[in-house]
Amino acid sequence: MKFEFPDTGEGVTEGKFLDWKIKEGDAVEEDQVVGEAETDKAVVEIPAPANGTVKELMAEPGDNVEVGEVIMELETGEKDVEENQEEPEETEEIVEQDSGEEKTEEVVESSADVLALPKVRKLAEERGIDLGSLDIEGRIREEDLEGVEKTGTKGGTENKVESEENEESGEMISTPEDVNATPSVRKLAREKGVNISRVEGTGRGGKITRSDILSFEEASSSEESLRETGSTESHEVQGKELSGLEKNVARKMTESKFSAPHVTHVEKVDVTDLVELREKADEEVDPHLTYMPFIMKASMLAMREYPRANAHFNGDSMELDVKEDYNFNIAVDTERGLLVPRVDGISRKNLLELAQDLSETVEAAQDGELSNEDMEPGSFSITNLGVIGGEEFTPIINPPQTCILGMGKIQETAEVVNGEVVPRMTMKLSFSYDHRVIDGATAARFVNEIKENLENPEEMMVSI
Amino acid sequence: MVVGDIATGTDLLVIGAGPGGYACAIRAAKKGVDVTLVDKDKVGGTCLNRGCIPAKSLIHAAKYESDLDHWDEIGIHTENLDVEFDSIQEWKNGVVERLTSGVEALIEKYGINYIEGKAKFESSNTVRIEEAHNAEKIEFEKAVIATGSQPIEIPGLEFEKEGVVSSKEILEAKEIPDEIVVVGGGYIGMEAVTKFCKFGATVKVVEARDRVLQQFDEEIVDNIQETSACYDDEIYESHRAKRIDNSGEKKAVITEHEGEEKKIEGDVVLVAAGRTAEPNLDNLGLETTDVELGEHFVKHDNRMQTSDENIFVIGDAAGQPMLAHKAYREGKVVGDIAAGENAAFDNQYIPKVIYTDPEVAVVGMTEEEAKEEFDELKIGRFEMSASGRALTTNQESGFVKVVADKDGKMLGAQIVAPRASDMVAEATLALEMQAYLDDVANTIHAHPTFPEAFGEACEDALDECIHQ
Repeated sequence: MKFEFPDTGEGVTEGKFLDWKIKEGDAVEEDQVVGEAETDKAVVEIPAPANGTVKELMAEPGDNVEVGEVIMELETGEKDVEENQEEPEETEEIVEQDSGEEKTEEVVESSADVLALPKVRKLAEERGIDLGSLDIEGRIREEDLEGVEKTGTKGGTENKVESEENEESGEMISTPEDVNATPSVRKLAREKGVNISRVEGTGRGGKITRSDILSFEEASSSEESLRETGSTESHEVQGKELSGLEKNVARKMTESKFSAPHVTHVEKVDVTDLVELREKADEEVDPHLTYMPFIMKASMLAMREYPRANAHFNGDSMELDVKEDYNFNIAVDTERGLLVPRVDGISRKNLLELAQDLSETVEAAQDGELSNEDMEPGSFSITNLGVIGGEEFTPIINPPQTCILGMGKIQETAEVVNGEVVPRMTMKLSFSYDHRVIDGATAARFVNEIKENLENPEEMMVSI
Repeated sequence: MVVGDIATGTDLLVIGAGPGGYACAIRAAKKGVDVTLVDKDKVGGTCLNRGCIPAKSLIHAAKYESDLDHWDEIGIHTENLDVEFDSIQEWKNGVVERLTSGVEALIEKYGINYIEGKAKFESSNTVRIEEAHNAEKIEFEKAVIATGSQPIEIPGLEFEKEGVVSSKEILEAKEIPDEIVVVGGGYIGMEAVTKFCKFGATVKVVEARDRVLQQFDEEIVDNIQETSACYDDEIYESHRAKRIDNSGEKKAVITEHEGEEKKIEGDVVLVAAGRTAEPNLDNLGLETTDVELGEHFVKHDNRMQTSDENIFVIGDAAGQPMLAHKAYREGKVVGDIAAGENAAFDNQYIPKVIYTDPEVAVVGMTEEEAKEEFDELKIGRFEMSASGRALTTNQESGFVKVVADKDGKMLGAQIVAPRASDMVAEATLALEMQAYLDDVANTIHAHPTFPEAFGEACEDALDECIHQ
C-alpha cells in the first residue's frame, strides 16, 4: 500500500521530511514510529499505518512533503487495487516538484529514477559509480562525479553541489503563449527569473508592464532577504526555501511587526540581591534554578495591577481579551530555529515547580519533541537573549499577545548608591508593547513594578 | 568505441545551414560559444538556394514584363522589346550567390567551424559526419536539428518521372515554357503562377480540394482572382492528380474530377503539394538519442528542447508553419540558450506572406476565427482603391482588414495589397506589442504610403476613418 504523509492537524498542509527511523526491507508494526517531519509548528513523528514490510522509501531527509503525498510503499500482503492506476500521476507530481513549479511545459521524464545525461551515465559506469546511490537532487552532472571515487563515498558537500546546480541551470521559465505582455517585457521576466504568469498586469486590459515585472521581482527578492535574516541555520544557501518552522517564524514576525505599533521601553534593574538569592537557592534545590522563574513571577505580580499586559488583542475586531491565567511563552534557541514553547500556570506553581517545568520544556524544544499544542501562544512572552549576550534589544511581540519582555545580560556595573560609586549586578529589561492597547505611562509603571519585585526579591517571595 | 576515435569536440553542433541553422550558429558564436555548423550542401538552405530568394527574384523580373502594357499607357513606349530569360536567370543566380556568400563571410567572421557533410547522431552527445573523402566524429554539448524539409511527392507523379519537376527545378528553367501544369494550389503553386503567367506562359493549377490557397480566407482568394486572370482562368479545383501521361507530344496530368478522369496538358509538370520534414529526419540516427518524434516532426518544448536534454530542434523539422522567419527566430532562441541565456520561443504571432499579385500577408486571427472565440468584434476594412499611394503606382486592387475584440485589442490583420509583405510588419509588431486599435490609429503614418491603409483600417474599426 501507498503510505501518504499524514495530516497532523492544526491546518498543517506541508512539512519538511527529517529522517526515517527504518530502512527499506524492515518489518514495521502499526503505529510504530517510522520517521520524523518538521511542520510549521513542530516536529511530528510519523506512525506506520499498518503492519507490513517497507518496500520503498519515497521521501528523503530534507524533502518538502505535502499532506497526501506518498512517502513510503508498504507491503502489507493485501493487494492494493488502485496502486497501478495511481502510479503515473505520482511520478509526474514528484518530477514537477523537483524541477520547480515553472517548468510546467517541460517534457516530463517518464522513466529513470536517476536523471543523468548519457555521457554522465557512461562516465559513471567507467568509474564504477552507481548513480542511484548518489545523494543528489535533480539531474546528475559530470561535475557531480568529480571526487566520487566509487559508490558510497560522496565528494564535496551536498549543499555545494546544490548551489552550483541552481546557479548553472537557472530556472528556465517558460512563457505561456497567451501572456498579455510585449516581447521585451516577456524577455525581462525571463532575465529576472520572474514567472510571468504569476504577475498581475496593471496596464490596459491587464497588460503586464515593465514596472509590473520589476516590482514583482522586488517583492520576491525582499521576501528572500527576509528569509535570510529569519534563518538561523548556518548552512543555508541563498535561494533555498526555508524550513516550515522558519517560514512560520518569518510570517509571524512580519505580521506582528507590521500590524502592532511597537514601543520598546528599557529599564535598568539592580539584581544584586536577586543574584545572591538565586545562587544560594540553586545550591540547595534539585532542579537547576535559573533567573527565568523569578522574572516570570515578577512579571505575573506586576500584571495583577496592569492586566492588559496579560492579554490577547485582535486588531481586526479591535477586541482585547484579558486573560485570567498566566501562561507564558519562553523563547528557546534550538538547532532548528526559534521556538516559543509555553509554560502554564505561573501563578499556581512555586519557583521550583516552574524551574522544573522550564527545564523539561527547554529540553523538549531542543530535542524537537514539542507538540503543536505546546507552542500555542499563551498570555505573555519572555525572551532571555542576555544569556547569549547583549544589554538591551527590541523584542517583537508574539501575536496576539500585547507585549513581550526581553532580559539583557546580567553584569557587574558601576552604580551610584548613596552618593558613592559601587559595583552592582545589573540587568536591563527591554519591554516591547503594542501601543494600540498599552500606553507609555502604563508600560513604564508596569516595568517599574517588575523592577521593584526583582530588586527586592525577598519581599516578592512573600507575595508568591 | 575505440579510444581516440573522437577527434574533436564542440559546444554547439548545428545540423543544417538554412535560415534557422545559420542564424542559430551565428547568434551563439557572437555570444562566445564554440560552434560547428554542418550542412550536406551549401549554406543558405532551401530558402536562399532554391526557395524564397530565387523565387522572389524571378517574380520581380516577371513583374516588369507584365507591367509593359501599363508603361505604354503612361507614355513610356518600349518598342523592340527583347527579353533574355538567360540574363534574368543569371541575375537571379547572382542575387543568390551574393546572399549565400554573405552568410559564408559571417560564418567565417564569427569563427564558426563549417563542415560540408552528412551528419548522423551516434549518441546523445556524438555525431558522425560523412564528408566527401573523409568521416569524422564530433562530441557536442548541445546539438540543434535544423534539417529543414523536402517537397512532398505525389504517388504517380514522383519527381524521378520524366516531365515532373519540383519547386527547385522550375527555378532553374532555361526558358519560359508555353504551358505549365502546377499540381497543388498552395502558396508555392500560386507563386509559380505569379512568375510564369507574367512571363507569358499559360499556367494551369490542379488542386484536389475545392479551392486554392486553403490556408487563406476566401475573400482574399476571391480578391486576387478578380484582380488577375492568372489566378482564375486555368484553375482546376476538386481535381485529384493521379499520374503523369507522357505518351502524347505534351506531358499530361491525369486527374480525377467528379468520378471522371481528365487530362490536363502542359510542357512541364510542377508538383508543389507541400513540404515534409520526415525524409531528412529519417537518416539522422535519432534512434541513438532520446529524441522523440511527434507526428511528422520532432517533439519539443517552447525552448525548442527535444526530449533529449542535449538536443534542440528548429525550423521546418520543429513543425508548422514551415516558414523561414519562424526558423530564424527559433534559431536565435536556441543560440541564446546555448550561450547560457534564458530564452524561449514565446512569439504569439507568426505572419504569413504569399507573393501573388497583389501580395497577400496575414497575421493573427481572421474574422471567422475570432468569431469562434468572441461574441463581439470590431472589424475595420480599407480598400486600396482609396489609397493615394496605390493610385500613384497603378496598383489599386486589394484591401486591408483588421480584427479586434470589443475593447479594441487587436487580434489579427489580413492584407491584400502591393507591398502587403512589408505592411504586415507593422501589423505583427502591433499585435506582439498587445496594441489596441487606438495605438495604430493615433500613430502618424507617413503620406503617401501603403501602410497608411493599415492605419485607416484601424480607424475604420473605430468608425473614425477619413478616406472612405
